[in-house]
Amino acid sequence: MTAQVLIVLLSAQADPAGIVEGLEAGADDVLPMPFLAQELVARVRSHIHLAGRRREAQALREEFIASAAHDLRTPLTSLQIGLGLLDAETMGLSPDARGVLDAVRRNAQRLAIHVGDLVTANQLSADLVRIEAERVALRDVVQGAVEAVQLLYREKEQRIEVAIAGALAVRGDARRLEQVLVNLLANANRHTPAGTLVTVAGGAEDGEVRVTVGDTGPGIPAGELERIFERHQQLEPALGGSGLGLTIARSLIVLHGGRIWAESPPGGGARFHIALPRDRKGG
Amino acid sequence: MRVLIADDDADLAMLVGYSARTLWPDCAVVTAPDGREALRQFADAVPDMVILDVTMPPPDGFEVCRRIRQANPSVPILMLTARDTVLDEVKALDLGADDYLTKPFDHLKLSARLRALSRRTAGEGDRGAGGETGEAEAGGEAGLRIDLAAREVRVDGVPVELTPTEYLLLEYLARHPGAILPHQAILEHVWGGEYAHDTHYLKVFMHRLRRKLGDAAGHPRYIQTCRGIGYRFVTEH
Repeated sequence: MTAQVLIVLLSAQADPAGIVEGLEAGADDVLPMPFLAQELVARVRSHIHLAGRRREAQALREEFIASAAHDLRTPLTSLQIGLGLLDAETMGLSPDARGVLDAVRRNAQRLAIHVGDLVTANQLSADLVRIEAERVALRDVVQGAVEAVQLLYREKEQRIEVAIAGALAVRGDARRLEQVLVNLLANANRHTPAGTLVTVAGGAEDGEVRVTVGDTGPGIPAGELERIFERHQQLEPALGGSGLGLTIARSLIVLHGGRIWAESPPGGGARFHIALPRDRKGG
Repeated sequence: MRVLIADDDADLAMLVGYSARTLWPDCAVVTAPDGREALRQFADAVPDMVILDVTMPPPDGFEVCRRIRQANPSVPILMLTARDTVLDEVKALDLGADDYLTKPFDHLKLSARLRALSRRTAGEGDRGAGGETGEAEAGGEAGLRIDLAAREVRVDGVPVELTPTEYLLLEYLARHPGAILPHQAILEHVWGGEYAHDTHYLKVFMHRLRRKLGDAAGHPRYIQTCRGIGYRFVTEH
């Protein structure tokens, strides 16, 4: 709320250094004394006008993002419902035709992840993501994320092994946390060879709940462990992906008051760790 | 069974209708491409269930939901929305929707929601050991009376119209007078297991229920909030 309060500093220092100091301290304007009352009124009016324009621009941006989300998600929903209604068994499809149907299903799933990331990236940059914290069992969130990526894993004949100790209760937004896990699992799917194993391990320690997604891919060079969370930083662009997934994962975890980091053990592979404050009231 | 589907995307409306018919093969599907047509169809077709997209030519889904709920307190309403903030979901529920689904969703998720909504509406759930008869009351002779057989609720002798979900919530609490019922238990019983952690449903419906009963969270006559735990049906003051 305080960020919306207009602050005009009246300063006895008329020199530029004093004005700069006032502005850097957070004032919206600095008016050296003495000044005319009309000047103060005019400046305040101008700031109020500008604040109104900023609010309008923000409202337009929110409307644009909501409209884009609707336009992207509606046809995607039609695709997903339609593909779910098509039953290869009852349609008597040939093995080749089944392969086609599976490929379309996989790509609809991939598209769902990309559309989700695109909308979230815009919401984050417009400061529109609010975490409405509820009690969430992270074990259930992991389960939902694993189901959401299963077709991508089946394509590469990869397995996901989940070892979660307890419900892992945190306070957070279940859908946002699932998006984080989906992004980490999709990332592991892309960077891990066919036929390999991806693990999801979780437990509680030191007042935190931790979940780790581990893969047996080529790993991450030490100098890149931080940089991979930056926007559009991909170690292997040829493997696909929007380059937004890890950035979004980090932003969403930070909004939950948690931490996310990567490590790459000497033996190979990559591990992505999430740590969230534990919900003391349950699980 | 008659289902009204209002969505400006004709393909999606058709697919949602097809999905509904896989659950209820005999159901008749009526579609509307905008809010005005949705309201007209609602008046003409008298549907047993309404599925509304939020974003459509005016009036939008929120407004259509509000007007339908004003006209009919019991028809189940499912909102479809591409807006994914909890505030939008709370707004939909607060305007009278029984449930919402955030796009994108698939056939299985849609079917599960439709089935759960239908179950709540029909009141087929297990309602505990109390059976289907009898009365429950709180606040004394002039307070809240629930006729469990007729599913009728009166406050100070005046009938109160509740949606099926609101009624199930009140009935579940009233069947356990004095007991603190945890959030999760209420959600699982009234909404179903898949809703066990969706506490914002409970908060919004409790707010709606209290508003209709003339109860206040700060000075509860009938339903007491046990902060961070659950709710308790008050029998004595």
